[in-house]
Amino acid sequence: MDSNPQSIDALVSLVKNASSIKVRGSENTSTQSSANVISLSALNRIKEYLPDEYTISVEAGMATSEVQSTLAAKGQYLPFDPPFASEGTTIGATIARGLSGPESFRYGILRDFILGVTFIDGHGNLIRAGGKVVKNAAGFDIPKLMSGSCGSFGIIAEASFKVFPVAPETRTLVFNYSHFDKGHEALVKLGKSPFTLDALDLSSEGSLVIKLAGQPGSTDERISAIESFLESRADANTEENNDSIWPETVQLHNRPATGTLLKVPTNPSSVMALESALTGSNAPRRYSIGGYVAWVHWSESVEAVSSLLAKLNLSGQVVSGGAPAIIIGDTGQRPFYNRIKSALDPDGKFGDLYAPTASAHL
Amino acid sequence: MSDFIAQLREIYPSERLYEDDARITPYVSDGLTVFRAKPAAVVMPVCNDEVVKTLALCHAHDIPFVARGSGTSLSGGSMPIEEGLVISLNQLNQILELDPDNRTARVQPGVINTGISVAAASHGLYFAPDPSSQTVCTIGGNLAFNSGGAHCLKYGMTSNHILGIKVALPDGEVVELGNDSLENTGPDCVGLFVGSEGLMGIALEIQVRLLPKPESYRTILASYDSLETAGDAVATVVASGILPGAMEIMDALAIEAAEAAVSAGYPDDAAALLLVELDGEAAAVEAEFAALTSAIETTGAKEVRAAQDENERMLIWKGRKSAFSAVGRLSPDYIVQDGVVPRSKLGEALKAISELSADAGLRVANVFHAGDGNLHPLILFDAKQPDGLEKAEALAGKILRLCLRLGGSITGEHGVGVEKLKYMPDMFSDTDLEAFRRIRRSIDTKEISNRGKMLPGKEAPALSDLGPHPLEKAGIISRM
Ligand SMILES: Cc1cc2nc3c(=O)[nH]c(=O)nc-3n(C[C@H](O)[C@H](O)[C@H](O)COP(=O)(O)OP(=O)(O)OC[C@H]3O[C@@H](n4cnc5c(N)ncnc54)[C@H](O)[C@@H]3O)c2cc1C
Repeated sequence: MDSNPQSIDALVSLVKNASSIKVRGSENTSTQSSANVISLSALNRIKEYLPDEYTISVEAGMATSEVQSTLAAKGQYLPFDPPFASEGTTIGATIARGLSGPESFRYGILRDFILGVTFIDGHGNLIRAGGKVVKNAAGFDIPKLMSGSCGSFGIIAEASFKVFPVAPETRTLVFNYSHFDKGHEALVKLGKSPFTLDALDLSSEGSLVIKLAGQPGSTDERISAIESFLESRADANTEENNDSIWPETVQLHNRPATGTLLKVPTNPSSVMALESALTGSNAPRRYSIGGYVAWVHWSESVEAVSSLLAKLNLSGQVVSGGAPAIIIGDTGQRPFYNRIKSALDPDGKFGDLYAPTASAHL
Repeated sequence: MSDFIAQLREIYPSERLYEDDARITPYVSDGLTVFRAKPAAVVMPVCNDEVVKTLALCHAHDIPFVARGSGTSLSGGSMPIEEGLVISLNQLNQILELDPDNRTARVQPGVINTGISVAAASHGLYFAPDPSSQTVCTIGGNLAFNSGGAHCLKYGMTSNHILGIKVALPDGEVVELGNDSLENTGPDCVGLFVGSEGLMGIALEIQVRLLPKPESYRTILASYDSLETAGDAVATVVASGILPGAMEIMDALAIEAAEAAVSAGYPDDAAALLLVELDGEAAAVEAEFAALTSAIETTGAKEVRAAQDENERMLIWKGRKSAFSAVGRLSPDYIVQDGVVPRSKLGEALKAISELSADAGLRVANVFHAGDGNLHPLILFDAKQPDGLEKAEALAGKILRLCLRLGGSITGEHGVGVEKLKYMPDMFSDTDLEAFRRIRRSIDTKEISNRGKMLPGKEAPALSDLGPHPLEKAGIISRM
């Protein structure tokens, strides 16, 4: 039976008294470790939403989709485009896993929008860092540190975000290129251009997916400008998202039921190298955020993809599925991580990102 | 200490190791000129290896050090530590790599902020963070203080533009944080390092993100009868759903000073000016401009002007960017605070500041990043008056506590340094501060990296409202 703390105080005492503890993720499988598993489902409220301030503070157990619908009711949104919202992911898990979606291309990823965080460290201390206002330089930026920490520094109880207004008009364009290289060329060219795109993704077949948003009446003119810049007409031009072009496992709505989903930070140049290395594998993949991340759905040995990434000096984060460790490939950040870990969780209550784990579900 | 200096001499030739008063004196204070402290020596490394050896030496001898860029910190961040070492990074000033396809540049810490944009210009790219001091301040200083500027509302602070850092930790270990991507795996250690005010060692190489230059700008200047109405106008614009690149406010004193300094052509009868700038694709900007104009119409502006061409736009900005130094010239001394308030409370905060200013009998000029709610009250005073500085600091303290009361922060971009140490406990609990200290000690066991800054502790008694600073009484720091 999971513990289901009803308040932050209850959560604090659970952490204080545990020797090993973890928050249940959205998966249903039971974990093999001996950790105390807790659920944050009771910590699911909005603490403060100030639409005029464009800021929101929520408890970590709140479903991301609920945060999104609360904001949408006021014409606002989370610009980092949290993925997997449809599978019931919580906002705490989104922060812990450090996940941003394709539309973060416009204004920035999760780290760029998290303002404040309240968390319980391995000592059982309840710590507040950052603030609720959109700008704040006092104290260490622990909110950013918590993004992607996979809960290994502490359990996130609350977080504050900066949010933005939803643009009234959106369009999705698809340009199908005959070859990956041609699509990649267009991606690089657009990335350097002054076009302000909401999303810029590329498939391994060479399809370029562009999303743009703006004030009413402005998008048609912008689309013509993009078409003449790329010297070709879009093969599809819709007002809706057009996710059907992606293999289901990298649509980022639900994490795949089997295999391992990897997030691999890249840049437009390393995308080319990664695609060459993956050509021949049948792993579904998607180059997103303008070429700054690759989503790879891997079904073979994780050790193999880990050494493939390491050879390219790339690091990968296991987002779902079993794996030898959560961070694979290049692990250059580990020495610094270990120091922070010793400060916030010296007894190792929360698990280690680089150490062998039975399951990467966090 | 003499042993330490002797070993420094083995690393540095005498022209890059200052031990004499004549060469040390320019380093005794930073942009917060009311305080100074004398270091034992100043060194000027020209390569990473020298920095690493220097830190290992400081660690072995327990000598505190402070990294220094251009010394423009306004909170005492780069003020030396008495009898410590100043490590001046101005000679580590190369752009090591600029990759237009990836829109990144790898630079040394002593590169001047605008230098990056100049180098990137031929590729149609630029470095977005634009503190008003950008023509002199270094990227290392920007990074350590997570500096802001006029365009944070839309583009974020320095932190949002730093992708990776090679760091020499305070014990000489060299680590890599982040990478050359916008995304990362694991915790955002770059995010933690940025804004850590020099407490975590020295950034040796910095991977920055470059943005394509916007295709088009639209800049509006609206004048108001009161500062409060201008503050309320910001809330109206923000609530209208448009996301301007910048929103800045100047009050009458700042307008007058800026006019005198650079003749920006600002209206001369305004109690406050609101500057709003849109940027992006031409078609998008024109559509936003229409929406912005109708939002501004409802705010009770006396006059609204739009820059007609790039020259007019640059002139508007020239006035704004020079205002800060121009106001400084109105008075023998000034201190500037940079507290933040929720944007909807700007009007209320500005009204309260003018009342506090009247009560204290001190003039306060306001020129600030309104879109972020980031105030910059410049408190004018005369340090030659017996209690001149004490009165100014007392007023500053009241303003910061007002910001906290309204739900804001004690600093938006200038950092805590030594100046705001005593307000940290107003913003953070003992538990929070203890967590900061534990993190610090995991990186710097001896707490030698910029000791006495940001985290209130034994070595840094809080500045006091009343009478001289305890460090002054002890003869450790002194006022100019
Ligand atoms: C006229 C004027 C206008 C200003 N306007 C703005 C503004 O609009 N916005 C804003 O945010 N600030 C502003 N500032 C403040 C200041 O310019 C910034 O804080 C700037 O980033 C400091 O850069 P610097 O090179 O002068 O750093 P310094 O003052 O030399 O150092 C600042 C801090 O950075 C640390 N540091 C420096 N280099 C490194 C390194 N390589 N590794 C680790 N730590 C390092 C130092 O130890 C110190 O703690 C202004 C200052 C002035 C005087």
